[in-house]
Amino acid sequence: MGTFPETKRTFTPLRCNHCQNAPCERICPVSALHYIENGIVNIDKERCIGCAGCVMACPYGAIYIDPETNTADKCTYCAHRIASAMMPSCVVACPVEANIFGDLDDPTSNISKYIQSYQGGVQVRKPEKGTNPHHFYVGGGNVTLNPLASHRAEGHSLFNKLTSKMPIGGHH
Amino acid sequence: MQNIQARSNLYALLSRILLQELDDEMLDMIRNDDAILELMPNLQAWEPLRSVENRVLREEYLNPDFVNISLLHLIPYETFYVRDDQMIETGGANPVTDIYSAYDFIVDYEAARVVSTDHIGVELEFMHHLCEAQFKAMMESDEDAVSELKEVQHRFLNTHLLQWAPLYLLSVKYEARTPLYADAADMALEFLLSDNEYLSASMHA
Amino acid sequence: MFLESRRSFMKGAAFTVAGAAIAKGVFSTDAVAESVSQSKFTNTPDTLSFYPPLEQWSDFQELSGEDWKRGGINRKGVQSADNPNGIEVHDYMIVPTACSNCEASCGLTAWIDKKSFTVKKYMGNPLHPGSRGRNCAKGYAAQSQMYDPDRLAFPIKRAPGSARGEGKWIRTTWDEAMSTIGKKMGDMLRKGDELSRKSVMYHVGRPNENGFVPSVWHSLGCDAYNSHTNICSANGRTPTIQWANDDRTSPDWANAKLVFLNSSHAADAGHYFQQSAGFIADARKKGAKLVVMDPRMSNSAGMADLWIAAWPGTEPVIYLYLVNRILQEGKVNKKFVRRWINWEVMMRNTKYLEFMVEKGYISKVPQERDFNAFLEMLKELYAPYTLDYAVKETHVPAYKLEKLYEMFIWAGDAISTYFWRATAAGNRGGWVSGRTGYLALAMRGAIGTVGGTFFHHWHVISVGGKGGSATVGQGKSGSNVAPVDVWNELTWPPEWPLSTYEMSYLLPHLMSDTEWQQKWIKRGLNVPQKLSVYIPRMYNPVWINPDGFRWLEVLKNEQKMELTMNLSPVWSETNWYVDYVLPVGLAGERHDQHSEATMPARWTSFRQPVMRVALEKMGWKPKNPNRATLEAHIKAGLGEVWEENEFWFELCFNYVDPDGSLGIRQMWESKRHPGTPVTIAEWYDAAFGDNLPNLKKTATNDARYKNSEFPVYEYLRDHGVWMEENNIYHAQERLVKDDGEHLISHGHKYHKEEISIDKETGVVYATAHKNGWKYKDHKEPVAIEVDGEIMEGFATLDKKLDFFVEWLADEWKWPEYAIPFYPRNEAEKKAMPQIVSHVNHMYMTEPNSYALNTVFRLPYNIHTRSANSKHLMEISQNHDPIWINTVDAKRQGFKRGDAIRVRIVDSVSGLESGYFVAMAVPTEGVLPGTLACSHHGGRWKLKNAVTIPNGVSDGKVNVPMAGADMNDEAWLKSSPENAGREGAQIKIEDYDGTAGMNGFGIPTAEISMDGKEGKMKYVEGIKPFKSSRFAAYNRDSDNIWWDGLSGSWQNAVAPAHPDPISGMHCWHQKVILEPAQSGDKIGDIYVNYENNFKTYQAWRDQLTRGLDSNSEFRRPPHIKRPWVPLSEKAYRVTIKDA
Repeated sequence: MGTFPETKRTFTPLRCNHCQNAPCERICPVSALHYIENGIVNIDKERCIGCAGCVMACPYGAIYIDPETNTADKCTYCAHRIASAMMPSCVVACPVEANIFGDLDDPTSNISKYIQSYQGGVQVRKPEKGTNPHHFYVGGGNVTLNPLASHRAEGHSLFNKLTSKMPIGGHH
Repeated sequence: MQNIQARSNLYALLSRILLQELDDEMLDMIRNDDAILELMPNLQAWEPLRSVENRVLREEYLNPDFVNISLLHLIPYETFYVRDDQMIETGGANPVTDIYSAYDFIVDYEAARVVSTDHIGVELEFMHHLCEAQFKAMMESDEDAVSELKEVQHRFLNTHLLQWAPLYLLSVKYEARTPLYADAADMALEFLLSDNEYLSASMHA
Repeated sequence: MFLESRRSFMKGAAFTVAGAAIAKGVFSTDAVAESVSQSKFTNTPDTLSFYPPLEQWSDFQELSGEDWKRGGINRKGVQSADNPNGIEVHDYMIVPTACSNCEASCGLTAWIDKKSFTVKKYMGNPLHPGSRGRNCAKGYAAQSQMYDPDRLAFPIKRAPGSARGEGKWIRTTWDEAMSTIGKKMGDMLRKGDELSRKSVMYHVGRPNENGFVPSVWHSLGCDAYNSHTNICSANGRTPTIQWANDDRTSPDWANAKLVFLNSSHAADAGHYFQQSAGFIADARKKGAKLVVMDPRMSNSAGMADLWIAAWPGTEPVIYLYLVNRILQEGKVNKKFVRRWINWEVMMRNTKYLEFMVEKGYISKVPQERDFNAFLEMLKELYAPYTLDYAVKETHVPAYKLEKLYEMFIWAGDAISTYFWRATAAGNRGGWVSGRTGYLALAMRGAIGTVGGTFFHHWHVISVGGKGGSATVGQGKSGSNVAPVDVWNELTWPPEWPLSTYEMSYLLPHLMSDTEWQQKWIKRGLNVPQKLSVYIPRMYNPVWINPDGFRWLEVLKNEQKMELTMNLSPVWSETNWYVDYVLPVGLAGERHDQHSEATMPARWTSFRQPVMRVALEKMGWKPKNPNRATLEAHIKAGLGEVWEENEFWFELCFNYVDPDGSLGIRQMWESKRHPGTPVTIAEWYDAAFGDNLPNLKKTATNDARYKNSEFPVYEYLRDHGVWMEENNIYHAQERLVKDDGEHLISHGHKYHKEEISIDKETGVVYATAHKNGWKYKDHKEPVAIEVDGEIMEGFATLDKKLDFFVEWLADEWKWPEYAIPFYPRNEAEKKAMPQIVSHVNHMYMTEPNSYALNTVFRLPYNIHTRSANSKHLMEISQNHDPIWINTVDAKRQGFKRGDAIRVRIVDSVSGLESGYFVAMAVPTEGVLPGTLACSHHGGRWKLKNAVTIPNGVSDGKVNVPMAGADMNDEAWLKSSPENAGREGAQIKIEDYDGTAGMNGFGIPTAEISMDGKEGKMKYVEGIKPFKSSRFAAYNRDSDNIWWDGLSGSWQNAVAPAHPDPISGMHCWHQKVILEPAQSGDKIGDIYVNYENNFKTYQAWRDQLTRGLDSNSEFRRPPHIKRPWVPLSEKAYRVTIKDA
């Protein structure tokens, strides 16, 4: 964004928000998308019938159809690792600790303290949709959280032309 | 000791009768057991029980009656009675299922042939299992387990069975065409209320 | 009321049949729930860890992420004998290793599933103080490289009777390869003459280890070592060599106040990327500011507080502007400058001061020669670097430069920077940016401080080559190995005596330039005219070096390069033209000691072949202890993939010198088991144990290891990393110890009687017993007296930071550049071409001429090693367009995606090299008048698949493959017999004789060359394919959605640009842009490489000041020849008159 010489570039990870009031979970006719007691919206690919209702229902484009299984798939906050008492992989991997994860109900947890210290500067995506996301952004803004917000001279894909029509993931 | 055995057996019997049609084995057993017949006087006095052969008895008398009181006219499921929308909760949000789970019980739908876990036959069998567990605890002299189990039984009766079963059972009593089901409903009604009193008394003792 | 009827209900006790038999029995125990409660898994754990603790690494259970998506443990429970439909549990052995996909050496852990003996994932190593358990995408991609369906499964060689590049290959064995290569090397060495020891060459791209392979060549007595440094970082090292006689910068990012990225975008480049990005983020959390200087907006620049887009090569003016203001405004850190800049040496060199007057640097020779006089002199010297001049020369708006100065001052002495590539890699004279940059830092005292900048050799551990005490002949740390006695003119030609590293990219040019060879042979030098053995390793010179067609000409020529082999696990442009391709692996498949200076500490990684280590920890023993890694990889289903350490041990011991007559065999003979080569554990236990006292103490006192045969090796095997020393600051101020008889400096003892101190400069000299020839009067500078204390000082001849490089002025012929300087007007720019960029705007005379910046890397790309990783290819598609400012694009009518012709012309020779066709992408992220197109684009292959006729039929032995359960005793104990030998070749699973070539990442092309002109055109892009090897892992290869056709092989068009002083290949190009002509497709190239040859000669003949008949030495003796210790005889030279 910006004009030379005052040009800037930012990166923001966008993923499933594990909404408290998830439209995907509600619309799923077979409860393939379902809640776990820790708040995560989970996936059951054995139940999924591939109707893609959830893909349409999600206001964030977070769900896609896995081309290998033809079932819906999305970020599960690494629920399998949580169950093994481990942090989600993206949290472990990030060299600059951009991803922070934890128990929002525990005021002494790292994430709770982080949000407290940035009060006033914490946002969610599309709050007007009433989904009550569990995914928060610090230091974000329309430009970073809304993929359609800026005009891009290089185009919306930073990369090469796409040669396949297969469903390849949630970009608007 | 006799007490707990009696209770356990009674729950089992009532559960079996109200859950599914009788088969030959069960029919013979009832016919030949005086203790059971004493509890079901109308059935005891019923002529066809002695004179009609089993197959005809079941196919022309008992089973149609069962279908009537459990499928066609009456609904033997708790959620039908306790929910505002009168829908049977067949899915994951049924509180009765949660209680079973808490004690590591799950319903085998193949065996039960029910659409939901809160069928009266299933709930009664659950009580039977709790009684069996209490029996075992008494054999092992585990006072704490015994009183805990009694508490669970009491709670289940009050929060679940007694919330709706009397209503259902009364309807069965009046709808039933054969004394098997009429007497079973009558016995169940009385027994549930009596057992609740017994448990309340014994807990406050 | 009902209690009455209770009595009647008591009849229930009398039922003939017990209730249990009456009840229908509709309940079962919830096996699912039970399976969960009996396991350790729960959806509501008390805490979340980043990694399991070390004690659990041999046996850690984690639920499968893929299987979890069947509803998780709530719906399916945990898989067990009672609950077979539960969620799968992986039973892991976690083995530490180090990444090899860039130079940072971040820690990795391989998570090996014991039930199937496969690596399910690589994650980081939480024990690593630099990488701290984190990695970048390339680290995680190590798994996709390991299970690449196109990787080589066995050694291959060129089919007899076929020509190089024809693409006909046959399967061979390690034994055959080693005996052919070893015999050729041995025969060559047995000749015993000087030329024989210059005729074998090892050419490494990415060493990723500190000293092992150099020790091999050292033991062979050859001046054989060649590297890629001069196409990479030479210009970045030159200023560090001149200022501190060190090799690289070492910043303390985490504590800096000003993070000044001006030569390596540490938050997206390989130096040191993820580790640096993390430290920089830590600093910014504490309020540090980030400034990035580059004509192109990198990711780091995009998030910086200040982005300065300076015209390439003009950055020195910015530093000198800062220096000017610091001097004028009284902001000099006088204490630091007085103590640590070599002003005393300069001020007493009257001859040089007079020279400066002659050149107009200063108006008169100062009368006083004290510190204040020095400062006053500097004020005058740097006065011309005003804001106006800076704006004019650099094209940076004034407000940005002023803002930079403010930040610079605000940060005090906590300024961290890293002089490496970017401006240094691209521009002729790029080393001047470091030269002037260090001056700016020194003026503020930001050297050696917390948050400041320091030098690499204090922060690095180099012991990989020092396992000598485990061998019969080498002696402790190699002390018995004699220095090499010869000097190889092909890598260190006489025109570039100060070349930072080898003139590696000129190898084919020098080998083809018979005129040049004859010229020097006539003058008395023994110049090799061919190579008997050429060994590139983890290196792809054909593709990455400039003027690739010249490489092809020489590689194909069997007279010039008699035998060639490449140690590499995958296909590449270079491999296609060699005689042998021998598969050795990447990150999790080899042993290396690898340390880098990523923080002010000394740490080292220990890279390991994880499958071998996992097997050994479970009790497996190899049939042949010298080929353990080969056997382990065969068991793992990777094929006959070996590792370098064991390969070199065995090659030297059994094949180069089988009867020991060359004295080489005993160098690699095991002391514990004479008659066999040294083993991994023996070597590394010695290398680490003999040289790292803290590690030795820790390992030998640790209950887990103290009773082991190799405690130090085992400690590293389990931890993967070691930090010997932390918080290293102001190391030059370490006090020299005095034990009564000796002074002890930098670990060496000097007899006090042999000590003398220069009163003027404070330098402490000792009589040199070894290598005295390197120093004037045989007096070695060993310490420095500063303000009454004797300290270790820097590694320069005067033990201080050399503002004034006396040796450059006196013996080595560049007096005008002996101080940090940049031309001050157009006339000086013309008179001093060596320090003005060859793409300076003064050369942009034609309309539509631009400076093309080629030297940046994409964060998820590795030069040659990413094309075989499906993960890296998917996120990058090797996309490499040419970025052009929107204003320039508009003027020329280029739109996004347009094909454009980029013609390369040289500003020295004036010749045109040719052109490449690129994809235009207009952007706000590049300086107008410049372009950006990474030279990491344009990968190509000539065929899509390779059939090896005896690949299957020679495979005789069936080995139970991966998919095997490590807990199965019988399988665990088994191991292939005679691995690597004739008759024992392994049947490769799911291989029918034909395999693809980098199917995920490289498109197919056709090339033509006739000795003068070369052309290339893409024929087909990357497309979906069906994998046979590792089919389950690669089942998504049918879902490839990129074609990889947006880049071009511009390197082939680029002529070699040897910097006259540093020897760096200056990458940037002067180009002219035109719309594509009809028939042009993106990726087309045309090159006149005969013109390129003339261009290299022009740079050589017009700009250098090489050796002549007055020269005594080939190179300043106090500047180490990297990696290879040389004798006096090698350094001395006698050159006849022309």
